[in-house]
Amino acid sequence: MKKIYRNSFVLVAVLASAFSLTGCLSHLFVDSTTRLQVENKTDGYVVGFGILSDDGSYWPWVKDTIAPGEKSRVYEEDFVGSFHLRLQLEKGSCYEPVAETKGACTGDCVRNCSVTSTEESFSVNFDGGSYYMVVKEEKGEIKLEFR
Amino acid sequence: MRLWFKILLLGVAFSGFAFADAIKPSELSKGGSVARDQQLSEIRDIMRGGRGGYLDIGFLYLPFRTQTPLQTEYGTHDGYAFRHHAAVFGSGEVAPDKHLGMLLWLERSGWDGEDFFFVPQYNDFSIQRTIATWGFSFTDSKADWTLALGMQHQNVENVGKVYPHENDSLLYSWAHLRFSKASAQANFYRTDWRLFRFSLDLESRAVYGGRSSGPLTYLPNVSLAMYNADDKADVDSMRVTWEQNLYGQQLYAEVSYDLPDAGFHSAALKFYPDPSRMIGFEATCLRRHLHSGSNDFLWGGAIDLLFVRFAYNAAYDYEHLFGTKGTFVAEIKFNLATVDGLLFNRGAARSAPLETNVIKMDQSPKQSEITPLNADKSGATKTIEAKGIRYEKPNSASNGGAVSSPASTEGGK
Repeated sequence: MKKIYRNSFVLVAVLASAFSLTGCLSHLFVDSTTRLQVENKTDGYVVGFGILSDDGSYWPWVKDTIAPGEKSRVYEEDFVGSFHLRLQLEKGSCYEPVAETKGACTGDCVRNCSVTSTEESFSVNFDGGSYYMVVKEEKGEIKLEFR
Repeated sequence: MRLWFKILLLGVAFSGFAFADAIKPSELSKGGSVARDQQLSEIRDIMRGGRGGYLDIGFLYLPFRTQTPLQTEYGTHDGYAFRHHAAVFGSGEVAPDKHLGMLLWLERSGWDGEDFFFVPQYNDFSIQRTIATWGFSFTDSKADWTLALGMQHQNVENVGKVYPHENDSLLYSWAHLRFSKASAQANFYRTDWRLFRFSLDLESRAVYGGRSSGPLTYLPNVSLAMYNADDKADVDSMRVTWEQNLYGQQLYAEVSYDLPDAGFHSAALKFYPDPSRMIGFEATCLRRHLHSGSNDFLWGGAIDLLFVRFAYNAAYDYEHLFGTKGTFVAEIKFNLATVDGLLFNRGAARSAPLETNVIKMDQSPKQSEITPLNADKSGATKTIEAKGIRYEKPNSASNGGAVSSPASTEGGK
């Protein structure tokens, strides 16, 4: 009698674990979307952040321009798996505050400034859920750090 | 020994998803026509008799989302390929030897980021499609012919951004005509044909009144399917399938060829311990990547245990689950066909031994509990023990004091 009880317990446990691996229960601990927030710790401006496809098209993800030391909003996308990220970083005098101009500026007001843009691509694996990503610059190299 | 077994089991479970190849969106966009073709070929199998009934249900179980990832131009997405199907056919005799029936075949398949049955995720890369085939059948079992007619609905619920555009309500018409062992099928989209299938099921099948053994059961089942993918009238591809009984309707070989130029498509060796096909084992080989140049052979197999089917790289699953490769597929399923009270699985030649044996045992005199008194030819008297109320006529107890009427000895009545 005890053996029958134990055997049926094992059977129920096996069935329960099989059932728990279906979407009904697995979504309790596995996310099917990725929510991403980016913090910019470089001295440039993050102007583009998204997924780069094989055919060269681009899927923008974080649609904010992130100033140095600032954070983006949280953006949710359906990217769960492994993808190529593309990061666009801009630096230059155009991002510096405009000096006080002497006199009124009428007509064509031309400001001489320059921007250097760098693009980096990364191979990243997202398992779904919330990601907090920090963009860093170490020894002239841009790195991503997930927290 | 037990440790080795556990390690082996873990290894099998691990390899079930670790080496899984990703599915391509092009395979998923072809899923609708594959499913419609499959439903019509199943209808062909059931219409071999054209009467009786059929019930089918199937539900794929893929526990891990890394088992069927999707490969798009953006990367590899984790998620679930799914395929659920159900079918029912029932018929009734409306006049002597005239049977009127109704068929309904359903399938829902696609790919999604979650595997909820009722509430899909509908994400940017998922596709969900429903195919319903219904129709009516008329069978004259004396003249041995069947005509079935109906419609096919193909509806997409959601098409992600990586798939080609698909109309969300496509309506096809179909017809099936069988005369004895020959049948023809046609499938139309408006006035354009999509499929013609000609089948010669020459194998003698006991469930449809044929032989249960002998040389006639070794005749082949041949079918030729012609496909047309676009609105032009020409044939885009053709496939010849040859099914051959190799041993006692238990061992079958099935080979399919693509015509005219592609050549060998797939081969399968199928073993059914019982000819009713309730349980089956198969080893398959499929030639893939035919047109991309990197042509190779995919070897696989499947075990079908009536209520559940396990497969690894099997040709059927490669074709019907969007080119799934390198992963274990488990399907919770059941199918049962019936003709004249005989039970068998779809495509089988002989019925399950369950019911017929019981009838035979009842009819054999040795097994009978009630033995007529006159059965003993030696003339010796016999006594019968019976519990319950016994009714005896006073004037009939002349035969040695025993009971004369067997009807009065039914115990417990």
